[in-house]
Amino acid sequence: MTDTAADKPYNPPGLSLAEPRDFYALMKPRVMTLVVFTAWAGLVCAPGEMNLFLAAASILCIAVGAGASAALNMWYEADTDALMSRTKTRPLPAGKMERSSALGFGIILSALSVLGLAIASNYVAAGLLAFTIFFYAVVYTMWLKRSTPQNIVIGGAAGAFPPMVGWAAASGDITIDSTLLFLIIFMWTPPHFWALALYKTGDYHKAGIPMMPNVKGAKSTRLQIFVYAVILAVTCIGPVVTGMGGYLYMLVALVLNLTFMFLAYKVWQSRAGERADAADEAGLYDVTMGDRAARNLFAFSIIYLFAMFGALSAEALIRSFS
Amino acid sequence: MNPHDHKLDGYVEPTEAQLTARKRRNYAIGGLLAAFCALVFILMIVKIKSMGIEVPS
Repeated sequence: MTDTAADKPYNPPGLSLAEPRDFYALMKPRVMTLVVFTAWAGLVCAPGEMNLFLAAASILCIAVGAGASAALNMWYEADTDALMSRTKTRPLPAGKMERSSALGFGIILSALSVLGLAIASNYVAAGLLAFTIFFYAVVYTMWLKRSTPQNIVIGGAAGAFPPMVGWAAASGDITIDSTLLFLIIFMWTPPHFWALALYKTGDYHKAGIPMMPNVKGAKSTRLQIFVYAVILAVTCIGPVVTGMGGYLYMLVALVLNLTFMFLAYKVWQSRAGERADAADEAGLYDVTMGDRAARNLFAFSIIYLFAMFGALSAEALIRSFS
Repeated sequence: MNPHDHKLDGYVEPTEAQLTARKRRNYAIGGLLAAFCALVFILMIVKIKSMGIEVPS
């Protein structure tokens, strides 16, 4: 019998072999980078001055909060993580620690991050962070993810809250501008995740997670990716209307959204996510090229988000210095 | 026989690697707790000063 990740126990006997770096891995550091950056952008774009140390401490607390919700997600999903190639090396499915350790780690970090943010900034930001952790761990992970193909559409809100939390940390308020920052990430999430789901369809199917390509099919998903790309482009006009985004933002948003829509169109027109007969060489080639288009969109979507929020932050910084 | 030598049922003798990992985890927990205490203390001072309240020396 082969020793797969799924065969390994989640509760190995005796003392745990988990190192501090395994606990760090529970926090999904790569996802945390995006959270930190968008939260920082929200904080920079918000009106009002904030002490530099308090601002840095607020960002740290938001990052830890994001890491806490990731740990709770890994605690709950250890069984399905063991079935997917992308996630089977995570600390829990790899059998490096007990599930209860991940749960305790997630709960303690959640409490400390919310408490820390309340001290560093205000109760509005702390309340929003607490709600974000709850939304990601309970609403998305425990409820939506395994029950509906709209899981990442609704659950995407959890990833969209950080700039709002950052904004609230600086201003103590929720405004139209901070809601626009939320909406940009909210509309960006479906095409971002569905592009990944298209070329990882087999993984999600094996784990029994009802992602859009598994439930509605690859063709419908590709069309929806393009539709969301158009809605995202329209949403990006919002900051120009409210005055949060200036000429730099306009230029960056125009170039990025045109590229995003072009890549989404390429995915729509491709055969990404389909399964071709091994005997059908032309079909196999089309599907491989389609998967490449989906990979290109997924990779570009990450650059897109960094650049969009980077442009907004740059303009806010220029305004504050001039 | 020393009563303290009695081992619980189901006791698993820890390996060298497990003991090393536990030591590292303990150091990390200690370091993070100390950092958290320092952070809260400094935050309090900075907050109080930013509110314009004099901190007695």
